[in-house]
Amino acid sequence: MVFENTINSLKEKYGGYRKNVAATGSGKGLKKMTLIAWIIIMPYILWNIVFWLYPNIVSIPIALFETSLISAKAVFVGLDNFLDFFKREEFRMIMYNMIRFGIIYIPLSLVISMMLALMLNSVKNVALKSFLVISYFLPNLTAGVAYSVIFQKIFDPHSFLTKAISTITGTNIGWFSDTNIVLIPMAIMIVWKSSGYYALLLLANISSIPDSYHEAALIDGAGSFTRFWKITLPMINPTFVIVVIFAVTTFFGMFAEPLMLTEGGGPMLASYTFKMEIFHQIYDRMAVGYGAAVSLVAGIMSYVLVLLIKKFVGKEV
Amino acid sequence: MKRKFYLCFIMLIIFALIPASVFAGGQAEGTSETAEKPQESAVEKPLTYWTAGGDFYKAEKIAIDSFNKKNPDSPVIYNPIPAGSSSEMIIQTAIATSTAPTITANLEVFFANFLAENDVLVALDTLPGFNELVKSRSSEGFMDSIRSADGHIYVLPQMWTPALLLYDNVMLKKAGFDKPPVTYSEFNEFASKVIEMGDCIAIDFDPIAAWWKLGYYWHTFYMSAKGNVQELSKDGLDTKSDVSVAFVEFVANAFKKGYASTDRDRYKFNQHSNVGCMACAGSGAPKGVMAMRPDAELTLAPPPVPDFIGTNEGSWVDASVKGLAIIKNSGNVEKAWEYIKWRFSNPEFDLELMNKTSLLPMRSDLMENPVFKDYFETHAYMDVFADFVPRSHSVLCPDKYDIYNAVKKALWEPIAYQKKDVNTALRDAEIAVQAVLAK
Repeated sequence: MVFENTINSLKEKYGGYRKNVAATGSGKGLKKMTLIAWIIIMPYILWNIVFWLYPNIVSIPIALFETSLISAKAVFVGLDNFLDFFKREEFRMIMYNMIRFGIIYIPLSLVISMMLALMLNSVKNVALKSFLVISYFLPNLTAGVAYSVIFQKIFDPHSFLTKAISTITGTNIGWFSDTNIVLIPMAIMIVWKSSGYYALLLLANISSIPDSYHEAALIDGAGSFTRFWKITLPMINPTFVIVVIFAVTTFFGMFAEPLMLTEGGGPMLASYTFKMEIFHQIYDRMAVGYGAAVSLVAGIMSYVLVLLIKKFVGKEV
Repeated sequence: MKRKFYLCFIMLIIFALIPASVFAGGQAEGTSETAEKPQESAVEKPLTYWTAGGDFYKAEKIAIDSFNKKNPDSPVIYNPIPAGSSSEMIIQTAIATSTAPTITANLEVFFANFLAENDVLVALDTLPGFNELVKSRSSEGFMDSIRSADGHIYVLPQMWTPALLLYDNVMLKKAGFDKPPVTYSEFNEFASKVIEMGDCIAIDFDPIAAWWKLGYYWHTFYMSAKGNVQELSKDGLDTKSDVSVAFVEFVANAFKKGYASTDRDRYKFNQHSNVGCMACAGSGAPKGVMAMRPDAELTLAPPPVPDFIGTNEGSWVDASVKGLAIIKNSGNVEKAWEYIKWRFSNPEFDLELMNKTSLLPMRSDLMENPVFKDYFETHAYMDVFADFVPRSHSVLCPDKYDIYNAVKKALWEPIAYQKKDVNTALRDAEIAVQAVLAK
């Protein structure tokens, strides 16, 4: 209770970020700050317009046609491409896989990235901290094809890991051939790739929390977990929501992993993804219109998911 | 501010839709106008050639360099096909974006036929000297196996690689067999002995393999029993004959009894000595196995056949057939054909291909032609494959890709994972194939 009072008094004293800006920024200074902010984020906005928004809009009319990559013929089919996709087993399996993958990947990546961020935040040596930051970020730059090959070796039936688990469980494990577990190694691979990046995002926010919050809580006798739960987590909410959005939408971008490890989404579509379906339709079947329809469905679904996350998790953002 | 934002957004949508609509509308208008335009602007283009990659490229480089030496004024500019998940994907993307070369290698016959249906390739048999070239290579017997539905030939195969079963001799001997099993019953007897050896399987049959490999299995086992007959045509897949039913029952039984495994990484014939045989071995396979397992003793054989057939002597098998085609509208058709004729007239270049890649060319004189004599004397197992070259062919159906994928989903995977019985799987496969053909 005493601790709650301290937090409330500190909140009153310091206010939120927006309050601080509003209180300290004069009109001109604020405009300058806003301009700089726009300049900083402009490349990202342009990137999204050129490579996300524009292709999605262009694909709308294409999705209404039955057309091939090389054929000059195009037949208007209306919404048939969409309806056909919704009827197919591939769609049902993609939805099912998205849920299964999310159940494994989202909590795992959030917990690990948060732990990494807290650990990095506790490192005081600047050189060591820089080294660790770069090390954790490097997997994010690694090509999917490259790390898929490495993880294929790690999850090989004759690897030390698989043999050890098989010895403990008493059964042979086929990581990439068992329909029930094929998404587990894939989730682990992507956690390895992404958690460092998420950790850095969280770290940037964690470092900006004033030390006085923790010091005051310490004086009140709050333990590490209480301080994390009552101070750190609420204070990093905006960044946390972004990380949650990244984690939830990861499935929409999965491509190299099933392509490399499970012959494009097998066995029995147990690792099939949106991108595999788009690739399969456009490049294998040459059905450009159909592929465009699938990509639009994926785009809209990911957008709706982001809105839902912002509504339910990121109320304060 | 909000109104301005919405206005900008609407403007952006309109600007994006204009080119997209033109794209879709332009495509809908027809083929002739769009097809002829590139021809005019491409007349001055150099002769470009995309070869297959790796060792294939090294072999082809020798031929092209030799040609360029003799034709310094009009050299062939060559590169390996850009990297991608499949050469078919790269080639069709290149055609769609007007960046395709004049000659492209690595085209499967069925895919070439598909491209031909879209009026993208030159019919090679309409070019001067085609028949003479075929005759000079002792290849007349192969022509019907590569002819498109319109009666023309669009691809000239560089390689013609039969598929056989590759047995581990040690396993055969341990199971009490002097030679590979001939019938399904014999194979099952061999298989039951193999699994008694502990952590072993009898056959490396991968149910989640890529479509082409699954096609390879069916085609090879089917022809081994039925001879020179295709199980897949424009009319559909033969799922009803005794041979087809017996084959699917054979595979289902293998997975049920543990003779085959869905754990594809645990049992790899080319890596581990716990597999009795490899179900799909091209002419490069023995070399690959020996590289990983130098002590391996191998035997090649056609697949076993149903008991009611009784023998696989003189049987036919599937062949991986890939070759060269000329892209229309490149403006270099004559020059391209000149190169192809020159390249294919010289058996020395076929020998280079065999030396570098362990792949065989489309010739029925492989064992008689003195140019290849030394090769077969010094390269183990290759004579067996060469013997099968005239008794092998590839499935030509242009819908092969879609059909084999549909069959994989409706039949092979459910059978291997024991989710369906044989009759249900065969019925579902038939429905899936008809659905593909109906499109």
